[in-house]
Amino acid sequence: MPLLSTVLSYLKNWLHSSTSMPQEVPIPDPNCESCIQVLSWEDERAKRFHVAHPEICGCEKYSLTAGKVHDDETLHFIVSDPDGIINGFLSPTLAMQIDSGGLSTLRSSAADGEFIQTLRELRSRWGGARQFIAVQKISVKNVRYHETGRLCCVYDTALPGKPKHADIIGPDIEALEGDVPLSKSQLKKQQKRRIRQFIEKAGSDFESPAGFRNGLLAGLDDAA
Amino acid sequence: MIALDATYVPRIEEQQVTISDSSAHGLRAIVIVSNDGSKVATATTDPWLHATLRKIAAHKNLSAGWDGGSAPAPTRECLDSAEALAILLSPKSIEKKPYFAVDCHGQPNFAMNSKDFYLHLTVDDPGALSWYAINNGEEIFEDAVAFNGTKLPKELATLFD
Repeated sequence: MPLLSTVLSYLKNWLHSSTSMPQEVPIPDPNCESCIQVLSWEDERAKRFHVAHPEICGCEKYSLTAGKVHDDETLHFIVSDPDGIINGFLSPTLAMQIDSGGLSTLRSSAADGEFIQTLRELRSRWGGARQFIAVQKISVKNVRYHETGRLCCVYDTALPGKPKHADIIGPDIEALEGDVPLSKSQLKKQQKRRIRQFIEKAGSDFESPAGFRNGLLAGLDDAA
Repeated sequence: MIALDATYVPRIEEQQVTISDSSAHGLRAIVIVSNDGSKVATATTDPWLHATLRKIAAHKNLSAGWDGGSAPAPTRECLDSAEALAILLSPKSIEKKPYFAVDCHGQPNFAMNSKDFYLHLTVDDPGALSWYAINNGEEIFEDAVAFNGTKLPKELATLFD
C-alpha cells in the first residue's frame, strides 16, 4: 500500500506538472491572415481572394469564420432576376458573380432566420428590376471540381447575422493556366467559358418561393 | 452614342425601324417595316420584343447597388444600345431569341441556353459588343465588335441564321 500510494502521488504530481507547463504558442499563418482580411471587403472579392493565398483556392483551407465548407454540403442561391433561369439552368448574367464579388449563398445548415434576413436585405436594395424568383440548390462538390482540375472555390464567409454564408468564386484563370499572362480579351473568353461550365455543374435544382422550406420565404415576397 | 428618340429612324438593309416616344411606362412604340412597305413586327405584336423593351425600361434610372450587391447602374447609352439590339433581333427565330438582363458590372446582357444554342452577349460599351456562344457544338467568341445600332454585326447575325 505505501508503494501504491507513492506511485499515485507521483502520477498526480506528474499530471499536474505536465498540464501546467507553458503551452507552445502557435505561429500565426500569414496566408490565413490574408484570407481573413478579404472578408472586410464587399467588392471584387474574387480578385482579393486570388492574391490572398499563393495556392489556387488556398483560402478554402481555413475556417475563416464559421467553419470550412465541405464537399458534401449544399448551398442555396437566391435567384432574383425574372429571367434568371433559362431552360432550367441559371442564367449567365447571374452566374457572372463568380468572377466579381462572388456568388453569395447560404449553406444548408443555415437557420431559417438567415434566409429571412438575407431576403429582407436584398429586397430593401433591389431596384424595380429584381424580384424573388426561386432558390437554387448547388452541390459544393459539383462546382468545386471540373474534370481533373478546379472549377470554383467555395469559401466560408460569414456575415453579421448570417454565420452560414458562403461565397462561390472562380479561381484566378491565369494561375490555372500556369501563370501564363492573358490579354484582356483572352481572359474574357476564358471567364465566359467557365461561366457556362459553372452553369452546367450548378445544375437544375430550383425551388419556388412556395416550395422552399415549406414556404418560409413566400410570404416575404409580397411584404417589403 | 445612340439616341433612341422620335428622331431616330435607322435604315437597315432589309428593314426600316421607326420609333416614337408616345407610349406610357417609358416604352416606345416601335414598328419594323420591310423595304417593300410590309410591316414585319411591332413591339405589341412581337411578345418577345415587347417583354424585352419593358425589361430594358425597368433598368433605367437605377442607382448603384440596385441588384442587392455592388453592381453599378447601367448607363443610359448602353441601355439604348440594348434597345437597338432587341429591335434588330426581333425578326429572328423565337427558339434563339435571348433573354435580356443586366450583370453585376452594370452591363446589359442577352443570354440563351438551349440544347444546340448557348449565347452570352454583353454590351460592353454603347458601341461595342462581345459574345461567347456555342452554336451546334461550335464554340465562338467575339470581342470588341463595333455596333452602331442600325445593323446587326455580320458575325452575330450568322448565329441567328
